[in-house]
Amino acid sequence: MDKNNKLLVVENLKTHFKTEDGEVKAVNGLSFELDYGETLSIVGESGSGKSVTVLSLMRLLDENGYIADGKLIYKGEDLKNLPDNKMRKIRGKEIAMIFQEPMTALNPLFTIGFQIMEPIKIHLNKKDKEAKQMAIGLLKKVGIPEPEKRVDQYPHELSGGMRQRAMIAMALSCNPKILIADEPTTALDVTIQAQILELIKELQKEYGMAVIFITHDLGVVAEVSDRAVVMYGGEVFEQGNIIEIFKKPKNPYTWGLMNSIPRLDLEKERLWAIPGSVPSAAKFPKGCKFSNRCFLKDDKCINDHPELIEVEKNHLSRCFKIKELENEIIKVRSGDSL
Amino acid sequence: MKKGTTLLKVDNLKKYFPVRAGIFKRVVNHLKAVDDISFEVKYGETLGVVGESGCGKSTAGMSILRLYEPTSGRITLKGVDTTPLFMNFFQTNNYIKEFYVKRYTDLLSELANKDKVISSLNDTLDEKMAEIYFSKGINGLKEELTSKLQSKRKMFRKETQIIFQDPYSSLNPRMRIRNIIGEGIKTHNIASGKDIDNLVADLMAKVGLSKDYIYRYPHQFSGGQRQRIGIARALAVNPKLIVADEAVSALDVSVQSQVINLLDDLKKEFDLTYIFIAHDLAVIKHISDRIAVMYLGKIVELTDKQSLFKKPQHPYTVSLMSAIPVPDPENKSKRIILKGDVPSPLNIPSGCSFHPRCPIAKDICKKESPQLKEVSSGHFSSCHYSGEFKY
Repeated sequence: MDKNNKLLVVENLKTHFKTEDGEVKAVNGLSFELDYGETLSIVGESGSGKSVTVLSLMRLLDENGYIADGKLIYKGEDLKNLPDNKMRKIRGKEIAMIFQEPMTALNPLFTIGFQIMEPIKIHLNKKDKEAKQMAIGLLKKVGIPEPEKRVDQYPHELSGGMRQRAMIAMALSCNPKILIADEPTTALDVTIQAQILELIKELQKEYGMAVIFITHDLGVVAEVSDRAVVMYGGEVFEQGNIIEIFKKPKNPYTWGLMNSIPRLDLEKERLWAIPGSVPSAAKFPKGCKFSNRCFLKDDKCINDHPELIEVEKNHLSRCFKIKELENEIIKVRSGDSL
Repeated sequence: MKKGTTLLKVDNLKKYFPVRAGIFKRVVNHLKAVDDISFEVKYGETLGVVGESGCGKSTAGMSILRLYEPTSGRITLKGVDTTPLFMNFFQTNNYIKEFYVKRYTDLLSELANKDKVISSLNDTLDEKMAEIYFSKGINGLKEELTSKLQSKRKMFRKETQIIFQDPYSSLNPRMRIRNIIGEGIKTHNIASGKDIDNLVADLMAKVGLSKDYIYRYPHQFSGGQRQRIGIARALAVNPKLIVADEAVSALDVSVQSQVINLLDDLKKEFDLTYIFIAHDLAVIKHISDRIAVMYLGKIVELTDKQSLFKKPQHPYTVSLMSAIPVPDPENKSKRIILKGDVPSPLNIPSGCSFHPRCPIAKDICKKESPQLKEVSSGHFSSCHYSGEFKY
């Protein structure tokens, strides 16, 4: 496929942090592509590097973090080498972001109207009056009742769900090509989560933007995305079409994650449990990063580092034991149906 | 004790927090966090309490354990009224008058016969208390409830334990694991000296921690390991009832399933009874035998797991189930999207508190608050139109 036709191509991204314990490789050779209008989920537990990936993309890393290597090609242009003033024109206008905790992402000292108007004034060169009308229109679009009144309120006067809607309004204000949603519903109640997911889907249809969804919730992944990237230890472990991944996972980590969640639609006597927990960034094992927790590991996994390979068309996995996993899945699933 | 008998009984529990304002800090309003809930927990069962933030599920758990003093209501453990255990003199007097004396005198004036009053009560504890009241008066009741208060308090604390949500703030950072887990053992004189170390090491092995870590501090552990320490601490005094307040919600997916499995195993091994409080209906479904769904301080539906998921009666339960995304990309059933937010518990809507968001609300719902009614055997729902909303 011609890479120039993709909206965004991330190639071999490496993001490192300088810490007291030395250099920490938070993202280690990550590659993915994003098409116009599609929804991509980045899935992983805490410490998998999923948030760092998008912060690198937005060039919003902390001072001790830097992009060590790789390319971030947006519409044929590498964001990594873009001067700050040009990056500022992309950030918020072409690529917008919503965050997990709407209370800390909004400034408590300014009205939400002011905060929504800010990108409109900067990127679209609108005057106050017109910008305010646009802000009211956006608030209405994201389903905030009485937008004329709300536009002059402060973040603390809004509920959690409302704040998240205001953030979405702000992100949409300049009609971005990519919307990055970093755990947008994790802090919300389920009934509110359902509202917000529905809203994002509707707006995506209307605006035709691509969405990168960062989440640890496989339910949300299945609900919203077309494709998914499963991350562990700063690497892609599995990547592919969402139905393929859920039906035929090719990586023991994905399979373990899918099995360890309690399900509303299935009855399980006992949950599958991945042993141990995600190590801190400097303490991953040297072979396969999942080898210390994997139920299929052998000496090869402990000593050698597996490469990301294309198992089926457009379905990638980083594992030496794909055949064994396939047999295991067949065994478990046939047991389910008995 | 046998399975199937009642371990904990909660009658008309209320917890109101006063809202103060102005220079004299006058009470201007009450936040009705828990508003008149009643339920029973049987030996060996797990009662799941589920609801969104602000529905009062945690307050209910804390009030049962008397980490909050309830505003009113009765909490009975193993057939003993434990309500006045942590009250002061005036509160105790007030409680006895409000809960027992007033009811018995009302019944007496209605039925005109003490024996009839006693036989009209359908609770063995109530019968016993009525007999004491009619033979010895208020002082008899007081004697019954507050004699040997210290040892009763200690017993209550030994039999009920809690596991908290946040494994970071619920362990004292200055205490070693040995002391965190061993504190209860020492206080309740279960063991002393070197035996405490052995008991703690055993407990650590039971919850899946290496006993080499016994002299470590909490910061040396990961979130999942800390939650295991919290569980070991709760187990240390051999409790009957454990309240798990969002015990797995702060954990990563893969660690969450480990802890759920651990809680399951320990329940069998130690004959435990759980009240499992969580906002995640899928977790609740996995672990519970019976489930109470709460909304704005009230139980809106209460039944065993099978009938709740087969035949949900309350429109809120139905919407909650449909709102949860299923991890199956091919199962994209239509969701019920509830309108609006959960109202503030300071400003609870009139009538049925769910009516502003309810998809089938009618005029009566705005005016009359529905009672929790038994719609089929053991299945309670508080809705004027129970069972009429399906998806």
